[in-house]
Amino acid sequence: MVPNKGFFSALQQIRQLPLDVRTVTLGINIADCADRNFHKLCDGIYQRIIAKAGRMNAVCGEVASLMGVPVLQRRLCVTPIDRVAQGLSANDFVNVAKTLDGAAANVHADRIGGYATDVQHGMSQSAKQLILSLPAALTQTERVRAAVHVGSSENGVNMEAIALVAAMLKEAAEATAHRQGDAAAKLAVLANDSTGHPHLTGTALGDGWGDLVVHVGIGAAAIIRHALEQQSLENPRARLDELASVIQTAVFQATRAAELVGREIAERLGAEFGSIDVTLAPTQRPGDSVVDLLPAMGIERIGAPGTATALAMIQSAVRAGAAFASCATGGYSRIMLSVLEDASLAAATQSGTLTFDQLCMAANSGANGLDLVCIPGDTDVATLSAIIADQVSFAVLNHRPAVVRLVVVPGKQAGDLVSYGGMKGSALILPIRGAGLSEKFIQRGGRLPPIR
Amino acid sequence: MPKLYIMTVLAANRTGILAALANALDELGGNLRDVSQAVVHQFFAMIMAAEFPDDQSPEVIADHIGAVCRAFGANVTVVDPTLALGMEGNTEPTHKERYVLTLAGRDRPGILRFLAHRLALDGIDLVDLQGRLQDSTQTFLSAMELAVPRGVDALQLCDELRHEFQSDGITVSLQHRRVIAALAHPEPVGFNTAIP
Repeated sequence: MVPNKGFFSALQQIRQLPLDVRTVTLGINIADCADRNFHKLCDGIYQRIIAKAGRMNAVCGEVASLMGVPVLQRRLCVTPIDRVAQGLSANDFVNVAKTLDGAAANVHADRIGGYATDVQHGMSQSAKQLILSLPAALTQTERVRAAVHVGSSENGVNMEAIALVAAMLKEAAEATAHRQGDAAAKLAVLANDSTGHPHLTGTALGDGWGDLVVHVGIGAAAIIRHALEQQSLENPRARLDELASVIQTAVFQATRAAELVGREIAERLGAEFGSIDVTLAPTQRPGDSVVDLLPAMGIERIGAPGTATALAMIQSAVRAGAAFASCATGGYSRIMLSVLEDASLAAATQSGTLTFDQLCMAANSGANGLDLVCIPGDTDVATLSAIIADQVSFAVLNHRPAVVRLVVVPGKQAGDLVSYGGMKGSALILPIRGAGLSEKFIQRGGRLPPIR
Repeated sequence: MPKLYIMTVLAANRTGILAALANALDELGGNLRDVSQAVVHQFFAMIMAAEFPDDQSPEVIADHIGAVCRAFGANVTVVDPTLALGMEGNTEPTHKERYVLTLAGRDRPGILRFLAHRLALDGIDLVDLQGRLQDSTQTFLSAMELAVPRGVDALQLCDELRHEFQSDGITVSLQHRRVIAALAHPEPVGFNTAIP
């Protein structure tokens, strides 16, 4: 980015920027839809979503056309269902999930979050029923994404909840064995999400966001890669701090464009503007992955020594650029290594350069937990619990949010290739070293105390 | 009551042309209301709207400016907008959004012709145009500001132009002025983005 080379040069820099908004998430407060009458509850939720989000798709299209900045995904999130619907059975919760799914389909949203519960201290009867409903709810719906918040730095980790969620995760995968366990990919286990991080998968509308709020998320990998490649043409031997500046500038520009689009959408929908997420999550376009940034920095492939340092530098520069661009960026910016949605990451697993252990390491150097990692179908529940617990504990220890989405693929072994349609691509089933050796630890149950 | 004229001045681009022009305007009691100036291939070109005392005739204005700027070979035209032909159908102002369209790539005949016809189809005004051809590589970069009627889909228009020029290796970008402003200026975005 060289801003001072005259009008044409400056325009040339700006005009080539691959600007887009990866997600627009409309948060809707449905807390007052709570009703002891189950049918009134579902009807109230459905009508509220239609009333508030009915124009979202059209408005996103209008603003994208006006600004010339594409909006790639439209999402909804609502108040956590376990707060709105108390005293329901697991079967009733499944019908609530179907209500959410139908409403999201009606307004042409790609996903809806909020089928969620917070069990970091312990499980209420309603929370337990919601968790027990997850296999059926995720199997019988398309757009619903579920989340269970199991721990935080302030409150510790609920290991019993993790064990129950892991059992439901495996059950959901087996219920969709004919679709290679894709229901499991819709369930996120969260840590340090007490305020309702608006950009994590499946997350709900958190406290303090008001009745109607628009959040936007940016896929900044493309714009950063573009900037790094430009920099490489001008100075192939640029120092790392110079590269950090280049990344900051690119993120600044992406954030500014996204805020402009987000505020315009919010104004047209009569909503508050919430926050901007500059998470380095992948999109479907080639080269839109954090993996593609590494060669531009001098690391030939992800997983090679130096990967963690490079990711940490990117993470730091992204947050600095986003913070300078807007006061609405919050502290959400993270790297998402969503293997199944990221063609470059998936290719790295297939070529053997990226292992399960390296993904776990990356989670400690800027990445946001383990996301959409395919593991063998015969992985036992205790091992699943232990993997989730490890990631949650890392997050709790480091005071950062985390998401764990494990795709257990029934009938598949380590080394098998699995392919999905839609947003998800193909990936290799990754072997887990030491599987089956943690059962006695998990069986102890209880809670991990808060981190002091 | 001052009277408004539209004037163009084409002259050799040498130091002092603007000073000479300003002197002439001052001596005529003129006052600039709107002006746009460019230098192309050593030629200075300016189009302006200026007010003059109502006793100044357009012939006197043109003659005086021509005389003062004679050393620069100035060619001056003065038009009374109220008498100008072709202005009767002007239905401005309708609200239009401002965009910056840029094209870059290998030069070939007919690019501007296609572009102008395509933009006219959607009622799009081309309000500013700058372009430059690099002789050594025969590549060009052109930037133009467009006034686009509401309802025109900028993404679709951009896709259409990209498709048209793709086979020639010409890249196209269309960005709203507010996006350009958001990237170029550090003030808060979205709170007060009204750009004239």
